[in-house]
Amino acid sequence: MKYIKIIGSVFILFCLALTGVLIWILPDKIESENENRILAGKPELNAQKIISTEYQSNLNNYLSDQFPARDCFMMVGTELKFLSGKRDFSNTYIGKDNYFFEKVLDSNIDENRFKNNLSAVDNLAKKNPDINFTNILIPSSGTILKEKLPPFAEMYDFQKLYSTAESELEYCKTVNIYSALRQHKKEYIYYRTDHHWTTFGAYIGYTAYTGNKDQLKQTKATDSFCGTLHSKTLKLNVQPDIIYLPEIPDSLKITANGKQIEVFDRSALNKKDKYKVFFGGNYGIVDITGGNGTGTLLVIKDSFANCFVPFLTNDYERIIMIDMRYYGGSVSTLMKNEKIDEVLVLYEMNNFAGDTSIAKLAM
Amino acid sequence: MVFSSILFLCIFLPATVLLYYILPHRFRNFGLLTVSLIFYAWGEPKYIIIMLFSTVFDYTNGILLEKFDKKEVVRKIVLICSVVINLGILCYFKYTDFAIENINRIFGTDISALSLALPIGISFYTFQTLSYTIDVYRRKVMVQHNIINFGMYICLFPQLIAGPIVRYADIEKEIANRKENSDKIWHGLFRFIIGLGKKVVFANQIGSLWNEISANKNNPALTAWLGAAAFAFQIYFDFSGYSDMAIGLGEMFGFHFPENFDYPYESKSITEFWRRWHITLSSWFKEYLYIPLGGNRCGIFRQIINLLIVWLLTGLWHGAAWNFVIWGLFYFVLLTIEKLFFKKISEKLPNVFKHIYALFFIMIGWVIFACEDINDIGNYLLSMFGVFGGADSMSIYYLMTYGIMFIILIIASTCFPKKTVLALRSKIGNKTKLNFAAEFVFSAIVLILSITFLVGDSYNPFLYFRF
Repeated sequence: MKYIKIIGSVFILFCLALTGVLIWILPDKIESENENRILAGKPELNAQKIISTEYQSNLNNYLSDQFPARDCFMMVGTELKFLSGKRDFSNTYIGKDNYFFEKVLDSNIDENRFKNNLSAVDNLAKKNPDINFTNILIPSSGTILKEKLPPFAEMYDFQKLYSTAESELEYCKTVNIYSALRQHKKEYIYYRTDHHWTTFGAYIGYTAYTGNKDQLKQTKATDSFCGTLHSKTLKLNVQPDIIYLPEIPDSLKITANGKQIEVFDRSALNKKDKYKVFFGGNYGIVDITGGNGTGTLLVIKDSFANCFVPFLTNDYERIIMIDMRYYGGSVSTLMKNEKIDEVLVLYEMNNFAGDTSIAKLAM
Repeated sequence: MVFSSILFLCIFLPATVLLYYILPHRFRNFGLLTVSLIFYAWGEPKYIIIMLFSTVFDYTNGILLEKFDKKEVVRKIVLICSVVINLGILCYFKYTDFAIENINRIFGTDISALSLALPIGISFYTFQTLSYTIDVYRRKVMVQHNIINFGMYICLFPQLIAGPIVRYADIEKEIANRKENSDKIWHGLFRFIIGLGKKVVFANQIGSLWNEISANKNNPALTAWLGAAAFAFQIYFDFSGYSDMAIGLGEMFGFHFPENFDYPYESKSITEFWRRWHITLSSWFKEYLYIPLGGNRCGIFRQIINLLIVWLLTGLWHGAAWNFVIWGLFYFVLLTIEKLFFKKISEKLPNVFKHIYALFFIMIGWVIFACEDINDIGNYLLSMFGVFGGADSMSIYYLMTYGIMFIILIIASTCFPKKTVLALRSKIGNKTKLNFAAEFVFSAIVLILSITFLVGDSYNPFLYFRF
């Protein structure tokens, strides 16, 4: 009996030590596609870093980032918690019908920042009285598809934010697209596994903005898109999303930060974040010329605009998209130099309320 | 370094056990001292100097007390020196900024704060080293002449950063002469794994609910109570988990550390709660403060003053902030009321009311403990009393998504699981092999579960950095 207990103890300690050795000798993984970040590598050892405890925390990160089968452990962890009844993981609700939603409560909305961002937009509109300004805030998927949230789960009060926007914006038109989207709540307007709206969802936004009721023409690009919301939870049995691409004019010429690009970057379809098929992601400034319409439109936007703007190429000759997170220049100067006729501010509502770069519009 | 980390589990722990058992007996204390210093220096490479100073200082004090055995005056001076300097260091690091902040507030001055980081575990090892000097002064323990042995006692890593507070007298004999055997190694490892599970699987999971709820103001009552319950479970499973890990590790090296928790949420009164919660701290205060102050031997008025002093300091021991002072006073008031009136009333009350009474005030206490901003305490307590409504949809959501977890935690915080195991054991007879097999499988499951949550979760707080 004595020996059995020793053997048992040694076995457990040996397994632990073996895991430690495996972390060290197995080849290091560079990045985690699921978390969309670079994983910690072997920390560099020197006396100064030990005294500042930088080495110690780097080593901790290394050991947990490079833990063998880390993704597996995370998946099992999610499944166990899901079994115990938990329905939100890393601020992501796991809803009904394989839907994932960003969990944003009233307490997560910074109303002051929201108002400051609105007034930054409004000031820009006030300075340019000859130009039409429109603000569209896209409600988060959980507010439109609230029936698909987990039972009793809530989202922030988007109607209150809409009315704040309407009362704060004096020189800029607000388009409330809630009811337009809500009418189609049974259709495929938001991705199940990602926070973005689908091409069809964007199309509904487009018709609300332009009044254009052309039939939507779209083709399937992929049916294996697992978006960032799913990545945050790593839930098993996920139903991947379909990405459709809208029909666009052949004549388009596009530059992003000065370099030539295409509307659809099909190479993104072989990568993890397939939503990047639209323009290949976000850039400071994207200039689209050769559209089928007239006039020049400036779109101040976040990533939700990437699948929305292609529709507008039927209505404008030229579209300039700027993403304030990456755009360093002055928007006022840009508007003068490029003879902008119309401005559209298009953001997902929660992104708009939390964005720290919109204040730069005043520059 | 914290126990609930891959570094400790997969590298430090196996390496330490291996080193310890390949060393011959006479080098084992030296080995333990060395790994303990590495363990501490890992998190506090600079502040290790302070711990080493305390060690050498109190080692010297012990020798001096022995040398001047016949001269009472010198003995008194040595004792006072030890107490003043040890507590002085503790206060300097822990309370200076708090004092400056309050002086600035009261007198409108603008003294700049020192912004010192608190050396981890300083409150624990200061109390340990004081227990040595005081007990040598009282001639309750022998002087330790071997500085390796003494250093190992002060720096011993299992209880160094989060207790239990092991008095020198508790392990005096085991320092020089202890027997390690297979029973202790296995039982210690088993206890360690159970503690790890309490911390990682229970405390961390329920802690995220408290974090979410306490981030909001003006919660409805149901949500606020769920949050308070979540914190009560988080701190219990976290703290008692740490104690289990410490006691288990000690056992693996042949020590018997005192127990620190005894199912405190089963208490039927606040007095009983404090006999079952953080036992080594309450008994330290009783032994080295309350009784020397006169305890209950100098009349009821003096006793109440003594209780007030003890509970003010107990509050402050948990952190340099007003909420901890209020928390200490809160317990002073409750305990005094119980001392004066409770006996007569409690005899007539059914147990169920006593449990509700105790848990009600314990939960109120945790809210005071957990909210560092005084204004937050007010708002949270108002929430609990329904000022902002009874329940909303999110309250039901929390109840549904954490309900099973709560049931598990309630059962796990009582002695029911232990009693069941003991009953089963006596039923099947004392079959050691079967017992071991069951323990082995159970601990393997808990260990794998712990690692699963440790690897996957970013939320793994160390709650005692203010102690």
